[in-house]
Amino acid sequence: MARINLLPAEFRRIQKQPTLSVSKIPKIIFSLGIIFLVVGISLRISTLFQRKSLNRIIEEYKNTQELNKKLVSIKLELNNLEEEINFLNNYLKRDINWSEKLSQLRDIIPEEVWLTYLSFEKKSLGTASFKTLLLKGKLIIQEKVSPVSALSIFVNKLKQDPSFFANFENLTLVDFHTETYKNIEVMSFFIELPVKKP
Amino acid sequence: MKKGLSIIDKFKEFSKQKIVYHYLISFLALFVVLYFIFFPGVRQFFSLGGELKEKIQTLNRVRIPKGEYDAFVEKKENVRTELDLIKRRLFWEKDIGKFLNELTQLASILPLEFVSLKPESAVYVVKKEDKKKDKKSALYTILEIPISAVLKGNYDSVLNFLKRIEQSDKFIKVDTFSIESDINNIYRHNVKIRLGIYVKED
Repeated sequence: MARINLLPAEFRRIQKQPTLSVSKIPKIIFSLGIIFLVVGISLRISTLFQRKSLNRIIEEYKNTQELNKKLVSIKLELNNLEEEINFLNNYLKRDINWSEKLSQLRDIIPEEVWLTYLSFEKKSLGTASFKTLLLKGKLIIQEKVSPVSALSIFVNKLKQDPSFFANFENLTLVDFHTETYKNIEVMSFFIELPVKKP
Repeated sequence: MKKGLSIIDKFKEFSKQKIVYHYLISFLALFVVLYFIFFPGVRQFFSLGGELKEKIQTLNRVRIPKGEYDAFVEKKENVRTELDLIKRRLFWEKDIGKFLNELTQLASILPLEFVSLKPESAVYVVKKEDKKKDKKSALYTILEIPISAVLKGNYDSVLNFLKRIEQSDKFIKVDTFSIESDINNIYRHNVKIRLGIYVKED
């Protein structure tokens, strides 16, 4: 919509149009130049700090790499040492603590039984070898109990004692027979206890 | 500007005005600032910023957690000490006399009678290999020296002797043994025992 101004020309308010005079342009350019200069110098200064940080980080990276190399070598060495410990521990291992085992055996054996021979030895069966505990002994035959059941009680005692029997695979009664020993009727027995493989 | 002048004359007249120099100087200054200071600065700032970011990321990737290195060094020292203790416990000196002394000391006070004590020739056990070298070479060789002993004593003294062997500072292996009652005295036993000690050969 057109606007009509009815005021005489001398009373009309002169609207100032923003003018860009030719003489102002160099000043604007110059001011821009100063702004760019300040920004540019600030950037240069900040790059100095950045470079300093970068150098510090590069140095730290080098040290870390050096430390990593050392750590890898330490881990390798540690692994070798642990492997050697495991290797040597195999030699330090005792399958059975014999003082304890023989003490347990003494406690299990009833009064009417005595051992004449006890051995822990290595046996070979074809290519396989195993260790075994052999017990040879005698049992006094009592009037009320049959010799076989007396022997059976003893054998069961051996088998049912968890701490004693823990190291053995099974129990084999290899031989038993009655005989006379110093004018007393006794039962001789021969028991084999193969040791569990570790 | 005056009308009717040629372009060259117009330029000559224009160039005589002071404002032209202002234009020239300001443009030149802007160009110098932009070309020599601002743009290189921006380029360097972003390039260094990118590089810095990348390096920080790489560093964070390879950085060892605080205390991890020291923990491993300490662990290695502990494991080495443990290994030295094991070696000290497991390996005997090649001088068999020291072992026989130790054995008689273990049997001392006990009512045991040594009938015989016979060291046998050493048996090669195994080579501990050095994995560090390309070709596996022996770090050391373990030799087992068996010793056969014949003793006489009662069951308790045999048990105590075995206990002392098992609890000895130095490792003595109980290889085989047999305990047989004396024909005349069932409380007295003849004991045959085969022990083993390990010797390290570098």
